[in-house]
Amino acid sequence: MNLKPKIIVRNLFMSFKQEKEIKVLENINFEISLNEFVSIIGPSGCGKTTLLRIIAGFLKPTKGEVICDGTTVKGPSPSRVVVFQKDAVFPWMSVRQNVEFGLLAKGVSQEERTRISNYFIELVGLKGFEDNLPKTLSGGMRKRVDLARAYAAGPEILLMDEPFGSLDAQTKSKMQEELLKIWEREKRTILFITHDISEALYLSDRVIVLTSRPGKTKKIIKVSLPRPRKNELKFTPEFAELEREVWDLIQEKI
Amino acid sequence: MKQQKNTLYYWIVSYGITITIYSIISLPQISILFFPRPEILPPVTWVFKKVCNVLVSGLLFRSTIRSLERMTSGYIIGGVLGVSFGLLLGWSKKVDYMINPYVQLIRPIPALALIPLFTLWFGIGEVTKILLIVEGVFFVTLISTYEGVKKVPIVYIEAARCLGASNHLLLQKVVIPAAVPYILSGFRVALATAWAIIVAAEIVASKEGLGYLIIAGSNHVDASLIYVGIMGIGFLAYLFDKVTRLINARLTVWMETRGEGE
Repeated sequence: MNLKPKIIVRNLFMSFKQEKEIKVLENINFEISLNEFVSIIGPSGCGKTTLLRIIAGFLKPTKGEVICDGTTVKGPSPSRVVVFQKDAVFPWMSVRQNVEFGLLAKGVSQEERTRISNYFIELVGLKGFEDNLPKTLSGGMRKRVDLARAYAAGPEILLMDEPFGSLDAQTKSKMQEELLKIWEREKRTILFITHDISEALYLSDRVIVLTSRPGKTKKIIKVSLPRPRKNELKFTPEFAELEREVWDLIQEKI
Repeated sequence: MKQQKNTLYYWIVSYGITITIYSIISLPQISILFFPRPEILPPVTWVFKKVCNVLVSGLLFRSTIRSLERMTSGYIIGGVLGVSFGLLLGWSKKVDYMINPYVQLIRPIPALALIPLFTLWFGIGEVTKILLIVEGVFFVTLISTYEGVKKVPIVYIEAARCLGASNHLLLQKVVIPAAVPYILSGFRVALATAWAIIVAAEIVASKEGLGYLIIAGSNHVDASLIYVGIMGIGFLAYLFDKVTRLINARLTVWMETRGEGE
């Protein structure tokens, strides 16, 4: 067991200067261990996405730092791949070309690319759709392409910014189940942003609850529900109780 | 197939009506009421004779080839330069800041206004005509490419970046493909610009070319010859547009479209 944390967020402050200074994040501190699944939840506008973008390396924090594997994050890196809420699958590339993009960037040979993309395309359940263009796929299938593409790039950390936010309720819960299945087979450290309490609890080992703006770490909740988890888990009393607890936390002022 | 037959039927009717009306008003007995000479509104038979004439003498063929040569070389050179500069300006802020003032200054000047200057500088030969087309096509394609690059959704660029893409890969596999629809629509607009310029340039100074036929027809009070020039240009323009549209459809199959546009 690797005890050194995979991601350390330390004394993180973020503010945007427009006409006046807007504080977005205030003194955020947490650690995420190797292959842990952690969600960040909070009211809308609390800076969840900003926090993820800082960890991804797209934004520089005003103060404090993010340390991944012992080094401070300075910019985007294929060791931390982001799955966005918006559809980020390249529409001009086939499913396979999308999945191989990260490998192409790394200069992996064609043979190896095919082998790896085959594996991940099958893992996300898109075997037989390799040559399809994204426009021929449904929203849920495109998310699978996005997941496979992120995985194939070989990251140790996956940063997911409300990836299922734009899907309908049924597809969403199907994708949650699917994501857990994939993660059980291919463990990675996952940081998952959402505003959906049930989604956060269902997926995660721990849930970090942020306050409204400026976002502060309000509480970190350990979810000790047994794994592997099935969708039915959401209808158990234990789950409902946890949901209630987080709901109350988010409702509270300050 | 049924649909196609129907369209053809309407075409024949539509053209038939137009030609009939023209035949009537161009009868020498009638046209004399409006024009002093029948050559100004020539009867259909005269036009037909003229077409046969220029076909047999090879004048139409030579003129078409001439115009085509000027058109394609100007279009290709201007297009390649326009797309290259558009990518450069769209991609690099520094280059944008340095070159954009010139673009903004020169672009609004109609190419036709440059004919006298170009003639002074480069003479009345081929160079001037081709350069005029290059100039027109260059700015149209530059602007559309620039727009295309600027409008690439941020999410694609960020996705590519965090997947480890280098600048080169980002440009080649993400920015250019995403900008292709803009670039292609620029090429289609440039086509119209180029035709306008070539006719004007050939009218000003030339011994051959479809634009030359038009001006020669005017000088000799021979409207039939003007018709030939106009129809030749119309036919070529139609052909070029058809080809660009085919290429367009090929390169943008990935787009979610709301059906074929005209």
